[in-house]
Amino acid sequence: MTDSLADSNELSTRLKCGDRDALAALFAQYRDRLWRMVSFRMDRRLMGRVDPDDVLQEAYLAAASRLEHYGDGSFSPFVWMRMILMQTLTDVHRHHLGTQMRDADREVVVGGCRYPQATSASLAAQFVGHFTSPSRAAVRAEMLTQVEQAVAAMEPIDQEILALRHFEELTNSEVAEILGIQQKAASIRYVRAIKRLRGVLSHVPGFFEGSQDAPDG
Amino acid sequence: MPQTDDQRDPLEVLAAEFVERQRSGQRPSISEYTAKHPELAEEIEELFPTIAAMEQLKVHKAEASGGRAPLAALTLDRLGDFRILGEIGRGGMGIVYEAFQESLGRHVAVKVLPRQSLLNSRQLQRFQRESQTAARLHHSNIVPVFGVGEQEGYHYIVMQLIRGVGLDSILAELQQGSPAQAPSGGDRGERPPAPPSGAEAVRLAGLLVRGQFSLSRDFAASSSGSVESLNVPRAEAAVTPPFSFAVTEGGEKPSGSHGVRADEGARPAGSDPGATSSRPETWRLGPPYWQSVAVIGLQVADALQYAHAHHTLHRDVKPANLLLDSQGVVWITDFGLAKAMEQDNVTQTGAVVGTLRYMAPEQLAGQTDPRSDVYSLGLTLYELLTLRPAFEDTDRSSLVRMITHGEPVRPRKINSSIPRDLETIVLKATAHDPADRYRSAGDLASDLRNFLEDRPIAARRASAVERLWRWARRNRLVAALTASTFVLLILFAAVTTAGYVRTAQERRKAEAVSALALEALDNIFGQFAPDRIPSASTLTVVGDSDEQITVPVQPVLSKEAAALLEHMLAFYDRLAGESGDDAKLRRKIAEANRRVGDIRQRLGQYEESKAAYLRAIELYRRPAASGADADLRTEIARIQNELGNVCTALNEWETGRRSYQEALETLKAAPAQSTANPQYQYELARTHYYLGRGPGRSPGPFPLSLGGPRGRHRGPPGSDRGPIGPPPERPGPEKGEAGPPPDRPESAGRPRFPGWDSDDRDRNLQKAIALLEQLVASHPAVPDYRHLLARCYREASFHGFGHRESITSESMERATKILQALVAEYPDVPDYRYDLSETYAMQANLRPFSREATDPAAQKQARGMLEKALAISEELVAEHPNVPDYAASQVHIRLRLAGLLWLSDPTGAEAMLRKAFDSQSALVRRFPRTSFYRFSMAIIQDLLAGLLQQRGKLPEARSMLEGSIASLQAAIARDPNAPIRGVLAYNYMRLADLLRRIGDEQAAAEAARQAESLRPSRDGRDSGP
Repeated sequence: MTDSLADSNELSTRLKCGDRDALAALFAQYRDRLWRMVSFRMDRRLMGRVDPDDVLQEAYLAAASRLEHYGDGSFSPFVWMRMILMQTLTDVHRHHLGTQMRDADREVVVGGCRYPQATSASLAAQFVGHFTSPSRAAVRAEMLTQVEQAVAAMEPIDQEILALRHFEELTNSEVAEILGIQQKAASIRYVRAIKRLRGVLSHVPGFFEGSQDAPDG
Repeated sequence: MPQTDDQRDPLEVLAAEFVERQRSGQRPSISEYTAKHPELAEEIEELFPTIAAMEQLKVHKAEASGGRAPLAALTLDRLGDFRILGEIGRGGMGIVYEAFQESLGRHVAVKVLPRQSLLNSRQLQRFQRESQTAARLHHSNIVPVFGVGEQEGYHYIVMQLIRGVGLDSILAELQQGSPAQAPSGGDRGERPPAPPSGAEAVRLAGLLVRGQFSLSRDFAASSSGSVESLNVPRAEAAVTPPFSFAVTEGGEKPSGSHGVRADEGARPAGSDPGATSSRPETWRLGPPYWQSVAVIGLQVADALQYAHAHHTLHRDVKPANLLLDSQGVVWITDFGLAKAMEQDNVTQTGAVVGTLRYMAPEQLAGQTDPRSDVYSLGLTLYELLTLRPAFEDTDRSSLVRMITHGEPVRPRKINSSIPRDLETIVLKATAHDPADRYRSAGDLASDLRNFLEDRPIAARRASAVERLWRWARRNRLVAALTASTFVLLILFAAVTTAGYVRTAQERRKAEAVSALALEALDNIFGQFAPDRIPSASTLTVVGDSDEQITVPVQPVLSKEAAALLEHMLAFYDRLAGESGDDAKLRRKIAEANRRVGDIRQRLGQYEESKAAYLRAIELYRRPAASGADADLRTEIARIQNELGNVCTALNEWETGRRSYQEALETLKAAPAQSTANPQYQYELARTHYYLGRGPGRSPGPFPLSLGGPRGRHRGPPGSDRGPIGPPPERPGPEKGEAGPPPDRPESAGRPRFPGWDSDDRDRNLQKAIALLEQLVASHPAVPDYRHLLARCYREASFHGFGHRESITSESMERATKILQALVAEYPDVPDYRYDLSETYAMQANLRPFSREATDPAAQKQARGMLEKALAISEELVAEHPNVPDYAASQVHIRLRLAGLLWLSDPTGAEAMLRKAFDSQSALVRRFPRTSFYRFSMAIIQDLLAGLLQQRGKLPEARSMLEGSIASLQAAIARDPNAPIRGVLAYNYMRLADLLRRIGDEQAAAEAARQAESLRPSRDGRDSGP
């Protein structure tokens, strides 16, 4: 998962020269992670209507057309790609949900990146979604609201760190870059975020009872 | 950005590692961490469960939504009867685990497939069917399938557990150890990441290199055919000593054995260098390794043969699907899965690139057969031999292009110690056309066996000519691919239909698609009507003496090509009609316009061609980011040159010359440092050539005397009316002179064209020659440079005529030599043959025959030249009936031959003339807009009339002459500017004369009157007697 800096630098140089092959290589290399991001952040209502792969494809085209501007910022290739992907995803949401988007401020800006929905909603959906057994289904809706509220009470940046680390599977340095903070800060915040999450979830009745047992500890 | 780790929270670092291991399929325990880091134990215990829970959530989330489940965090302990022990590896098709089958008490391998792959029932059925088929295969080199199952939506396959390493890992290992043989260009992270090598891979790689695997007895017994032991001693002494480690170890190879079983007790582990798991500094590949590779190939080929006999294709043979175990046995996995898993692979972005690399060209077109598996195996062997993949590229479209048009570099070019026979086998297995490969996997197997047993192999090396021929056949494959391209184009058409592209976003998408479409079109276009500038459309072939030759793509239009181009025109037109906001897109559109211009020119549609070229230039000139770009200038100059050619073809010489002049100016204005570019140089040379050549090449001015193909006036000043004409001592107009008397002799008897000063032309030619000689010296492998140089020499030889005779014939000889060489090297390229034919024909005139008519030796020589020229010409016309130039050239050669035969063999001359007449009539019919053909027709009729009259066939002569007059009149009707009134008048005179002889006084008087009325009075040119 950790890319060598050398690879990243080389890709970056090539991208600055407008090397389309580098873009393709970038895409192929990070595809899994990018897919995960889309899958994680996509609104539930779009599941089944929009295939994450389509979003990826659109993003690729978008990146191709923006390639000459790659050098304008100072992003690493992956982060740059991710940004474009995020914008594409946001566009897709707007396109499909349009006025149906529940809240006017459904779109959230965190760390310079515009998300189609608040991370808390994505996170909450993750947490609650694992209750698949029918007996639990009844409880789910209620639980979802509670979890959402609980998670939303966490600082947005903490939510974001969790999402980036676990659902997008990014490294500490990538998280730092995306959020625009120091690596050290990212690292410390992550630990704190985990602590807070644990605290938050333990207060939601029935949450930890139903979940899978942790590996032997 | 890089910061040291110790600034990070140590807990976070541990957590990252914990999570990483989980994601890679391991099952790290929390207690492990608390034990290793007691100072953080409390926090670990508090937080790790939450972390683990989050990882696990990912799986369930996917289930709930029904979307794709990343397999990363899948933690299974059990799949029914199978207890999961750990992950062994992962590939594009899923993750493979080692498991314990409780009911039978054995270890097995379980491959779990990604959830999304079998969501629809059709795929599921297919999967089941393929699994059943695979399960029926029993071969010692095919991994047996024990069963299939499903749990929680995950489908899995149970197979025999093979303790071995994939050949891809071994390759990675060997590549790392052999920098000299590693893929060039510094692996840019292109290929799908190779799995981590591991100690076992190192060990097995070492064993391979040392050739220390023998074939197991089981294999020898079950292989189709002989049971003979393959422990034939290699004639190592006869071979140049390998660099391998075997030598330094004292060459411990027991005689009579292929090698030693790696696990034999005779070698205590300690003493066997092969047992070490550390990699030596470098792998040196020598004969033992080649043997190993052949043995691998043999096993796989054998297995494939068996499977094919059982009606099962593998479809995805590649190193990753071949496992090598510690006994040296190769196992093929994933039989038939490729088909089962198929889900419209062609549309997925990037996902298929890994497999694509080993795919046979026909597979890309959807037609797989046993030979496709042979091909894929061939490529695998190629990679084992050269340590690099045959086709290296990330980009999907580039890969496709390379696979369908390219050929991999010959293995021995990469490593000259690869045995020639083995190379031949691999080349045959990977031949582009399935018909050129081994007919079956079994044939490949037996040739490999031949190699191993030192017997001559069955495969033949193709000669350079044969290779070229095969490559030429490959063009048909492009037709198969164009089907998919047309789909793309239709999509594009739909997308750009007005009204659909509403939003800026849609527009952007449309532009992106159009760029893709243009790329696809360019690809096809390059096959049928390539650029002059040699770059994309060439193929590298190896000559018989092992040098690399670059082969140009066939530049001539066949009928299919013409039809295809017409189709493409529609799309290009549509593209060309777009107006892009994006500067880059504009450039693409300019390119499209240029293509349209090229196509139309080739099809003879000159006006449209001109329009397209002008549009292209206009678009290129629009203020773009890169103004002073030398490449842009070269491109613009090129278009201007083509414009010049088109104008010349339309008889607009002045405009044409101006266009060439503009091209020159465009080029001269380029910044100094960019002028070193060979393409620039070439274009500059080309411009000078056109300026030096002057008009009259293509259907151009009326050939006042038919001095050679296309009516250039040739010959010594003043005396020659072209060899068509009868020899000077023949008196009388009825001898059918080659048209009206020549122009006033000036500048070597050339027709006068304003602005085309002959000294100027000489200078231009000399410049062109200087440039080209340099280019040829520095780029000897590029045929286009030599070709143009030959044409320049030819032209130059012409210019000097009359002033510096020695130079002229020397120039002509040089031209001939170059062309002969080109024809020999590229027999498939008609252009060279055509030019050679023309050169011969010209030479028939160029000899200093002042007394040519009477000197029988000289005549004989001229005739010989013409016959040579005619021979080539006839071939060309037969092969390319659609190319008018060839037909026209043939006519002219015949005419000149007829001229030579006039005296000695009037019957022969008449026959020649009639043939010429027939061909020319056909040309006129097919190209009614080309005045030049009508003119030529008129001349032929003229000559024939003269001959017939001479032979006393007066009535026929009359109708011929009348026909000639009619042709001329038709020509004038189309092209009122043509300077042929004089000719027409002259012919009327002749007709009048003839009619008098026949006795038709009235008609004669009428004809005479016509002649009188046509006599031009303005320029004082005398038109007749």
